[in-house]
Amino acid sequence: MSKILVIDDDPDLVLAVRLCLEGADHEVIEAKNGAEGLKKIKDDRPDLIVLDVMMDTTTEGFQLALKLRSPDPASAYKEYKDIPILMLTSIHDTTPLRFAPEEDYLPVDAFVDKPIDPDDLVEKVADLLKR
Amino acid sequence: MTERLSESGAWQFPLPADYASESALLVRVSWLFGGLVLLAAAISQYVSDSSVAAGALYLTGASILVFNGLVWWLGRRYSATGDRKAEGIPRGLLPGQLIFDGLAIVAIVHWTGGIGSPAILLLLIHLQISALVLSGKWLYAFLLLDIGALALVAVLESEGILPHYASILSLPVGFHADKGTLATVLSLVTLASTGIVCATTAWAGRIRRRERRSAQLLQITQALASADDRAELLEHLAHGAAGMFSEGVATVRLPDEVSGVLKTTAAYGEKGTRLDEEPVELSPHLLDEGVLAKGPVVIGNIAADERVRHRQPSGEEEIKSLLAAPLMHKGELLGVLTVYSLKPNRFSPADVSFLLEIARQGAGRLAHLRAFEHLQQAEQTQAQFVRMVTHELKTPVAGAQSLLRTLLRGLIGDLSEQQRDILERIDERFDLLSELISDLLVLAANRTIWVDERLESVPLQPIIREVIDYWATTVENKGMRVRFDPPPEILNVQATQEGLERAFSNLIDNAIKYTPAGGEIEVTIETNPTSAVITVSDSGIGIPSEDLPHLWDEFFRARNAREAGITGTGLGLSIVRQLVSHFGGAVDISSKEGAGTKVKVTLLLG
Repeated sequence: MSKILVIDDDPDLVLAVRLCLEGADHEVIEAKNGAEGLKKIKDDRPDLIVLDVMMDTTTEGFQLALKLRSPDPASAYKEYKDIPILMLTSIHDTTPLRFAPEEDYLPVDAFVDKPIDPDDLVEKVADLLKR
Repeated sequence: MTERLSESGAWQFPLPADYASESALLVRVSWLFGGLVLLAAAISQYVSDSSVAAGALYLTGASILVFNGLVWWLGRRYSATGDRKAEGIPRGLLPGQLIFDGLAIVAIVHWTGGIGSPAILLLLIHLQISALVLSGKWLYAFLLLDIGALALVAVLESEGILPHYASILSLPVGFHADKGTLATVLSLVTLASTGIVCATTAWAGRIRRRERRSAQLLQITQALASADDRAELLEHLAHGAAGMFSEGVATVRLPDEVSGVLKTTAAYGEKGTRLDEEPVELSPHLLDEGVLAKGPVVIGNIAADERVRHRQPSGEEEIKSLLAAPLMHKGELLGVLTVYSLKPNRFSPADVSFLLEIARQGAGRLAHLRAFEHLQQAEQTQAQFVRMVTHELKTPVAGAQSLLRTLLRGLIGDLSEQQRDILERIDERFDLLSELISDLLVLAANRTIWVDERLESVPLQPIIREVIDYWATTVENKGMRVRFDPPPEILNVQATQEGLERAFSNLIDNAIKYTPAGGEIEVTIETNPTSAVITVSDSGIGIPSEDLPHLWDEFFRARNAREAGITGTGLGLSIVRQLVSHFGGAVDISSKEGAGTKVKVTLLLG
């Protein structure tokens, strides 16, 4: 059983994700925004992070992922670099990708499209946790 | 003779073409001149008993023609290359031609009777031509040269140092040695020459000035028309105005967007250098809209004028006069164009009307650019709005559907048959809603964003292959088959990558949707010299003939599609048509109800 942190400002989505993951016997903790998310990463040390691409601002989710995966050796988040990240995306949202520092550099490990397909989500989470 | 307005050579008067054409004209006149001299030589053979004179005239005539030939050949070389570096040729040729002609004439005068020769009239003609071609100090040098040479020949003949030849006019013997006659004739010739030169110069000068101004105005007009944005336009305006008045400084002031106070936006000083600020401060009331709207402001003597507060630029000469023209467009004051000069009372009424013309053109162009900028901004705002709205619409749908699916998945307990059925219907309606939102975004984006997008050369077959792969799972689930046998050579078409993907995705989606399970879809590509024709055909339900003309309408769905219960937004084909027409292509549909549909898309190769 793994501890999964869900960072999303939409309570309906959080509930949906919680139901799916708890149904697969995972423990779920949640955060409403990037700042709260970072705090919970430090305090609770999750095994996986489910992150929404957009929250209060257009790129908040993406910026958070970039921060966590920063290649800077002096980064405050380097202990958390290896936590797998699953990103929830809206299929027509190309905005975050324009902010990627290099085209091939995507600081997340997998994507799940909204609306969420429960089986798809559970499968992808299982894959990421196995690695 | 040259007046360069900028070192870049962009503004140049007179244009090199002027020198070339004047030189060519002189050449033509000189052929005639040479011919006439030869004729005169022949005549003098009959009149005079001296064969020396006749021989000398033949020689002179011949040399005129030879020299002329040389000039003509050099002129042809210049025009053949059209080379800017060869500019020096016509410019150097002109004075050369005139000097040679002048000396030739004096020689002819000597051989046809000296001070009593009718050929002296030729000298006056020569001076007249020189006055039309040259100006300023060159001209007076010529005057001196011609008269001086004539006087020299006359004096030398009278002293007997040079032989005297009899004139065609019957003049008393020894006439040429008489000092009184000499003085009288030379004085008359000098008087006549000076008169001709002064009069011609005055008139020619005016014509030349007007010509120059017209050429300058044309250049400025072209520069203004070519400006792509406001900043460039104002630079050209200030630069052009400063150039009009050779030692001028020009500034353009536009009202500050916030405060409405006129602020300097572009300024040019001597030698085309940019200035940072207005060289002279005008009292506010001068810049008052009311004052400027009435017309230009001319101040001949800045030091004495109380409307002006003088600012002394460091290390430079004092500005003495100014001319301010309003930039008016349809009764609205857009700004002020001001020209300054180091000379007092520099600006004549002709100058004022000239600057007003420049200002008028500048204002017109400025107004157009401003309108264009507003339009662009409005379009951008609209595009942003569309994106925002779409996101706002999709978010609640995504949230609702996510919860719905957890219910359907049984994660909150088992569902009865009916509960499941109803939830599935809700899910389907949400799917349609989501599709509708996406399609609306595409449609709106086409109109505002994508229309601006430049077309590129996009490879056709790979994109179609990608689209077919995208739909592969759906095709398989329906037990259908997609046949795609493209020509091996990659064809490039005029389109955008995204647009092409979307268009073909819509067409293949339609083919799948409206074809019952087990059916077939085929995609073929044919080529013409200039275009590629892609045909998507299916073995589906087809389109009733009465619905065919309405297919392109937004939200339209054919009767048989609705009857079969197949869901759709009715926007797919409108999007395809918009995209294809943006690419410069065409799309055509043929169909038979119950048998199938063929969609033909023609795209331009390249």
